[in-house]
Amino acid sequence: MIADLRDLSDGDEVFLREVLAMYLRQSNEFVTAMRAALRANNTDLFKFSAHALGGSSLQTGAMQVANICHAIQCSEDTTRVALSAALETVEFELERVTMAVAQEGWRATSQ
Amino acid sequence: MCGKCGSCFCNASAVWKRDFWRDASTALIERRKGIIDEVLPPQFVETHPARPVILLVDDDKVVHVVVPRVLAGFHGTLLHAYDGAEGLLMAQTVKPDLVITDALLPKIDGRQISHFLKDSSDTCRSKVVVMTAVYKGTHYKAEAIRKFGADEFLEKPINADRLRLVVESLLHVQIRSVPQRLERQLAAGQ
Repeated sequence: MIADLRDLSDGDEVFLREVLAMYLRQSNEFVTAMRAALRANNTDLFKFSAHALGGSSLQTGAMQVANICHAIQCSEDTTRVALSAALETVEFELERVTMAVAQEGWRATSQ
Repeated sequence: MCGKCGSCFCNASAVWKRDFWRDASTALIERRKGIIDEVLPPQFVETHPARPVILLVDDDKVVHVVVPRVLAGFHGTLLHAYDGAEGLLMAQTVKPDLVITDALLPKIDGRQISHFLKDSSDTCRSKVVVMTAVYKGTHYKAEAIRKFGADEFLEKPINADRLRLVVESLLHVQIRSVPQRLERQLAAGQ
């Protein structure tokens, strides 16, 4: 998941953790913004937040989240049901990323 | 008075703001300068920044952690802006040697920033690199360069070697790739 970041970090686990912590914190903000946009029926804001989350995921290497966000931006189905389902998928994948990061952290400290 | 635009028309279009300030009275411009001094980091008000200056404009905070790492061997000043309006204001005031901006930004689009900077005799010497995770391919690169005056166009995710190469080429500097592990060991006196 984070091969490129690992190359860039050159073994600096502090840097790696800083990037991942930043990514997860920011992702939560984007998801909150998407939820708010959904409540307000603001499709543009929903898609803009998905774009922001997708870009950040791409940079961090969370490819599944990036792909879902890209699909949201491209989708013409902007019904509340469709956007709600998409948001659930994003949240599910982010949960997986959080678990993977936690596991990476455990590995890093156990080495 | 608004701390962002120096007046109270944050929702106005960038073109409107540009035209407004072009025709504004000296008194109003002086008043605005005071506001800009509050918005900008103190080093740009009190002293001259170490040149070359790079301004990074991106709403993705991860990018603001990754890019300094990529440009760790850069000897100059790296400034940070987190939306298009802040980025444009800082660029117009500081006149950085290079602006690295995301394409899609809150408030003002990164391609518009490029257009405004290149359109003004005051800032047209600033080199501009537009980055995007969405618009991929030579068509968009050509459009960013032709239509918005960007000097270079980079696709996201940021490729460290490519970014270093572009910065080196546009600023005529050399950025060595810092071996971080070695640097840490040296700092620790090992």
